[in-house]
Amino acid sequence: MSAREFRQSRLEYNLDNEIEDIHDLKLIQTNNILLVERIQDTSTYINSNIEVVKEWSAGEHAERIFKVVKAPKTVFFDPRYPNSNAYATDMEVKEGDTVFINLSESLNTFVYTFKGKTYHTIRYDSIVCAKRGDDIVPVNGYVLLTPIEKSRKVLEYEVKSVVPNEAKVAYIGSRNREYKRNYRGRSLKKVDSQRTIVDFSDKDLHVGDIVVLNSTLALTGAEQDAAIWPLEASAHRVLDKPYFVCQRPRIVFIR
Amino acid sequence: MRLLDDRVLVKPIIEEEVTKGGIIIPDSAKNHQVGKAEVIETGSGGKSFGMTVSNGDTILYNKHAGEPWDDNKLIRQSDIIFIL
Repeated sequence: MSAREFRQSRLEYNLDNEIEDIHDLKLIQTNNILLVERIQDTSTYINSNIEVVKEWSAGEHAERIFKVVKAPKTVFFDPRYPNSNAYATDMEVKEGDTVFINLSESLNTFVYTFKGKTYHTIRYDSIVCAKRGDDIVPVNGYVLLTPIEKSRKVLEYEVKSVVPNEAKVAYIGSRNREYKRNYRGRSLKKVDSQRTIVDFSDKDLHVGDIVVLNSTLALTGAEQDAAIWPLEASAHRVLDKPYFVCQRPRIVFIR
Repeated sequence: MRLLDDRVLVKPIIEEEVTKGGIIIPDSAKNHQVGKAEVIETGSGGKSFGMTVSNGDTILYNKHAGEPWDDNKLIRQSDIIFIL
């Protein structure tokens, strides 16, 4: 046993003597906690791009993709209680789904081992999207965005750069009925053909829309766990392209 | 004693682990964030939800949550991770 394995073994809770089968564990239905299996190995690079590593960061190599083993039937929402989900929404994750979670949860999950496999418990509101077959289903009201690149000529060279506060809607799921966090003052706007700004409901948001994000939350400056952040670290990306993630109230208007 | 809301009184179960070589690793030497306990008493539930755990259940809970109460611990149902 290596030193790393020994240290890990002291952190992980071994369930071998506690249960016969992993499905024997009973979840508290109102705690919004899911049992997931670790499927991502971030000790190896799976992206074919060669990157110059300037500094190592835990966030870049955190395991953020898991397989759902057990999930509660409903999502509990009551802001008076700490176990409340951050968003009033429905349970949209099924057993067997691959889920992508946010960074802070991935660094703070409880870890268990059972019959040689590693499991984690995660909160439902940490899940950004679920992958079911080839489908990507954003959950918790998240919107998946793809950055927009613009090219300009510098001398004889063509330089491409990401537009800082615009993006294209790639995937949208169902909207949240209510938010635990207050997003007041961030109303959604739409620019109509006469270039006047009109109110719109986020029901009007469609895949392919070009959206303008709050300029203080620009994509190029996005860091893990900021209000708009990359779904995956580039070194361990499994999806076809880089996606950014935000909640609907972060969108200022549709272009 | 009548517990209010979703509070749960639990008795932590402390188990020593013996390695293959015979070394005893006490619970205090482990960094587990998860503890095992037996439910002694439960409250009646929150305003919008009931209690899932009942007296006598063995549970896994967030070891850093709650406050000590004699040899027992007073936690909330939201600190419980699994019922075994």
